[in-house]
Amino acid sequence: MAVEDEAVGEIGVLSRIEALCAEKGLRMTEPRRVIARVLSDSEDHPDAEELYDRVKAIDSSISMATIYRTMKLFEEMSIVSKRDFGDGRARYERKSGPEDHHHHMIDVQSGEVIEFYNQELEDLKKRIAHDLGFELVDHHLELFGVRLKKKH
Amino acid sequence: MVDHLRIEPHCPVTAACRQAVTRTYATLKGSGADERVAFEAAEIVYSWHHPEVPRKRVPFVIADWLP
Repeated sequence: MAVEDEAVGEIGVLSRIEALCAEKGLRMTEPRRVIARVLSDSEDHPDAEELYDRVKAIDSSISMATIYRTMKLFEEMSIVSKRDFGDGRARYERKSGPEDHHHHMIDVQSGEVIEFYNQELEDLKKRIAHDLGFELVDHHLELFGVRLKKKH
Repeated sequence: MVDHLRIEPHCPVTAACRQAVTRTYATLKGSGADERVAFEAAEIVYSWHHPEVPRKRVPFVIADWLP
């Protein structure tokens, strides 16, 4: 971290953003402190998802919602400058292992989540990967839908 | 205020959209899904209920509903 990005406070060396938070009277919770430090240490301009990855490496209990709430707060308080979060979403990996492999059917109307496993689908995915010259190592699938109306 | 932070609509706790969003997130997290998978699923559910809300605003809206 650059010297000009540090400020010495009562509790020690603060990151530039922590110092700004203190200056504006923002109460510093532990998640906010972690996010502030990660942002201060960033030499690029991370979007919310990249920020989440970096924060998670320090404190895995911090959620995506906390990231967005904190970014909104920091921006409203002019602690960080405008960032372009964009519409594109980076892809990510599931954490679950092959032993509990399943997919999700999500009812967008009610939020109900149905787990399912389909061997034909598994075989098809492997075949597609193989045909494209790959060995399938991971994937995830979420299907979103509305329930079909029952016929009387 | 920064445009993408303008949040609307303000759905009450009892609204179907809010319940669907929180249920999706909680169920996926409860089943061991990755945080990002659960959060993005909640975004998609919200967008289905509120297609009028620009997609880039959605995470800021649902962030106030999720832990």
